[in-house]
Amino acid sequence: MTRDQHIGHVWPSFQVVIERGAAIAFARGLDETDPVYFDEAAAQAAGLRGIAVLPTYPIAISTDRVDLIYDMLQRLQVDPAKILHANQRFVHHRPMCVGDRLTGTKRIVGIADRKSGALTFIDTVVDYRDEEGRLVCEDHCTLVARNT
Amino acid sequence: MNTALPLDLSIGAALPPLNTGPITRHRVAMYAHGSGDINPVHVDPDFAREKAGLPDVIVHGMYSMGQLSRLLTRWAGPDSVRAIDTRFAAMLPVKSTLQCEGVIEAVQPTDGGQLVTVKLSATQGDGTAAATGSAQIFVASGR
Repeated sequence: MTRDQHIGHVWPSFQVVIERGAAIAFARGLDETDPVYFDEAAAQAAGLRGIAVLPTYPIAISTDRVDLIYDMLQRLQVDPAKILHANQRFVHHRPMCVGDRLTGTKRIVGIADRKSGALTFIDTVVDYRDEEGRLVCEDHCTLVARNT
Repeated sequence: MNTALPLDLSIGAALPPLNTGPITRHRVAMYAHGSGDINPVHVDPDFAREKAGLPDVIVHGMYSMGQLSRLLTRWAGPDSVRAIDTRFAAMLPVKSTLQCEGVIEAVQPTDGGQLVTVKLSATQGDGTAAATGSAQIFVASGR
């Protein structure tokens, strides 16, 4: 079976709003206490556009769109129980903040077998663009599937 | 938090470390709630033992990455992280303690300031690496 045919697959874009409650729950989940992550006035006093969002917050958006992950694994005929998160990278072209309205587009950028086919590395990217179409953030994820 | 003090941007300089203290079940649950990742391997000890073959639940890999990102934002500010890259090296058992550290590897001038490359590590109490990586941090001129 060849999985290479799936490289370049793009899912339909989706809209996302960075919600205050979600961003605050994420900050609390990481033990954050700096008021710029919770309070509009504190954020503005620090010179920010709005309530700050921690750099790894886009993972919560990806988790919310777990349907895309399951769709990908189904396309690749990979058992979700055999997946590990190997690598994660975020590139921030400008900081996200609460209230941002973004368009996310996810695509498969690489599929590579390693260790004589025992492992398959799956690379995906989600681009997030603002309402003017400018790139705000890239979420690069590498999952490893155990084929045994 | 941003501080008024200039940051030490010399090559090899260490960032102020971040130690999580013991990552309790409650803290794992808080991260599961905040991130939306409620995979039972993180929140259900019965599942971890009986279905995943683990001694207990494990901490989210993304919790380690999140703490590495906080090491950076506490040092250079909430809007300073241009890129962060993490490799997940080992599963992290619940009740572990993570020591998050960063060392400056390179500094290059960029528009309005400096782009600082930081090498990252998140290490368990027994010395096992949970996550390693690197980051690109923007530090405005005059910081």
